[in-house]
Amino acid sequence: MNQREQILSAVKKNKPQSTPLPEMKLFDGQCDSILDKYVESLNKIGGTCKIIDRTEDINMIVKSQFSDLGQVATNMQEVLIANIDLKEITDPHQLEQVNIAVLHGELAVAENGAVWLEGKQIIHQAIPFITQHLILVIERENIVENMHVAYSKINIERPSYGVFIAGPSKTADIEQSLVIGAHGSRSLLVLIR
Amino acid sequence: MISEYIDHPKEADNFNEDFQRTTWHDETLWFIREKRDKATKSLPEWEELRDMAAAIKSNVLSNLDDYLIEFETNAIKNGIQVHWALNAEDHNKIVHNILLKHKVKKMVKSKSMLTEDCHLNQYLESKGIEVIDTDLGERIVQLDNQPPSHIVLPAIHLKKEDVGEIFHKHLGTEKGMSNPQALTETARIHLREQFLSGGAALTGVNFAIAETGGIAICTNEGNADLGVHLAPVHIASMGIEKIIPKLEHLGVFTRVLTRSATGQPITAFTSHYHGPRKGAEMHIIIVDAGRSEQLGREDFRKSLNCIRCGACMNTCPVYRRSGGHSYGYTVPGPIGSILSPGIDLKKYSSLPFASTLCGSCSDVCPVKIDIHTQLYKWRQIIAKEGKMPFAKKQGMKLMNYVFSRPSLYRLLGKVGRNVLGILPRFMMYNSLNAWGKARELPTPPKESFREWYLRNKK
Ligand code: SF4
Repeated sequence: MNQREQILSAVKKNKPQSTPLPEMKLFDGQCDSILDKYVESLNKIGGTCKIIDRTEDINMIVKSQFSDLGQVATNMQEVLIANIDLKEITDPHQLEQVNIAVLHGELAVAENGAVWLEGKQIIHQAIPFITQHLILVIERENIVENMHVAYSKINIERPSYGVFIAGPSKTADIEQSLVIGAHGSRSLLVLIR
Repeated sequence: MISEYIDHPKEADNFNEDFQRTTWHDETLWFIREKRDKATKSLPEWEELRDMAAAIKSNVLSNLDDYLIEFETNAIKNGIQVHWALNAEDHNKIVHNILLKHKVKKMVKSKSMLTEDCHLNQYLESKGIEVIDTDLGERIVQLDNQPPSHIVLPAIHLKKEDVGEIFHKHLGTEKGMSNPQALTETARIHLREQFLSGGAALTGVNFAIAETGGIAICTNEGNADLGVHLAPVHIASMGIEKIIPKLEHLGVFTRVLTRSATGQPITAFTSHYHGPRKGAEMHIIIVDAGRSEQLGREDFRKSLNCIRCGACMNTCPVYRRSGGHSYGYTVPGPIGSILSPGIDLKKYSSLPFASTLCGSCSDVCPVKIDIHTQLYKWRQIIAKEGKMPFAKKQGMKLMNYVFSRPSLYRLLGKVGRNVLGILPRFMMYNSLNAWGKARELPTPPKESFREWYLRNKK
């Protein structure tokens, strides 16, 4: 018997009597304003947020926040300040110097501030992590109440990569002092249109 | 198997030598426990979520072989290479072979208690491969050649000055640096270099989804992702119990995991890997290492529900005042004390006694493991097998003697109540009474419940 069969037969022999799966619920309809809740959650986890009227405003907002833009990458046509083309890059190591990434998020979650990004859409999976600063753009109508609703909407294509990003990267590993900017992005700005 | 006896009381005593530090450790963990309380109380459905999480896990254990096969089939469809390892040795060999095939000289690793348990780092280093732990807490303890002392907060036993000293010694920072912000920045720069030069990335697995053949990994620092997205090879190591049936179940687990762990509503990054990126390779190693045996122990199988949130550690009065290293096992605290005797009963026989059986661990556990009941059940087995620690043996003998003689029990209670009130301080708070340290005994009641009951019965 190989290892796989040994493990599977031991599990089969030792497992208890079958119990049913519980019925899943969405636990939704609990908050009055999903948008307000989203903004509140995002602020709590160290992110900031702006509501924008026109997509073109992104350029102006980013320029006003960063005196020196450095390398800017995006997966959105409207972001004209971008100066590197993600599609041209073949090796993710070349993204090392990216300072700002402006990425479109598919979905956001009000209870915790998270934004769902899909690997295929962002072209390089490394980009939201390797960039120094992250800006995510989401649509107001794509904010859902909680994780149950979020998973009911996500369609996992396979193979694929997908990630919920909730705030800038952080650590409290040194004496429980919260430090923003562990390995990933040092700041997160979410633009809601 | 090496089996040196872990003497928890003695190790705990060593930890308590620095009284102020122990108090700081205690308070820091309690602070995290309070954050957990706040986060859980903000959800009206919290208890329902715990019930759901426990029911899902119970269903998983009762169909585990089928789910493992379903997971494997779907993972292979996603282009993932699946390996099976009976024990630590097999696991380490599988990792080594993958690294050899790709001529990897340096591997970056994100948090994985399983590989810690397998002593993977030491094994690979003996084969000439450099392993870099990339979680900040893990990197700190790795540089100082220590094991982690907590499963979520690996360096919780160290003060910022200690970290400054470790970085000074190993990363060449200025002596005396102790600002957490500056220290983290140093680590960020140091670890970025490692991420960029890693030949392979190894991660743990928080959840493996049978229905989709993918895995979910939760981190705050983003280290798992940085490693994986840059390296040409991703290896993910998981215990057989990490399976969940469906994607929708992640809704329950992502909601309870981090709220229980640190009081955050979710980790900063919850990543879902369903296959390698273009041009890269992805491997999953499914590890047994005693788990299928634990599954066969009716009284203890529920311990396999554990999602490694660490809440039982943060709340445990013994863990908080004895430190993670005193347990001598990769997973310390209450959950470690019910997992470890299943691995080596003799070696870990003092651990089920490292508890007051107050039940706080079971109360906070998001997957409703009856931890304190299992601790008690291990004690009975250990007592029967004659592996009880000596001091406990004497105490238990005396207790047994007293409990089987009701009149003596009542008399001693009376003596205790009277004596506690008049004993001079030095007799209660001396070095022989470990519980007297940092603990004021309550003022004893004048009469026992029985005396009160008899007086009021009429
Ligand atoms: S036993 Fe429960 S509380 Fe303890 S780490 Fe595991 S899941 Fe968390």
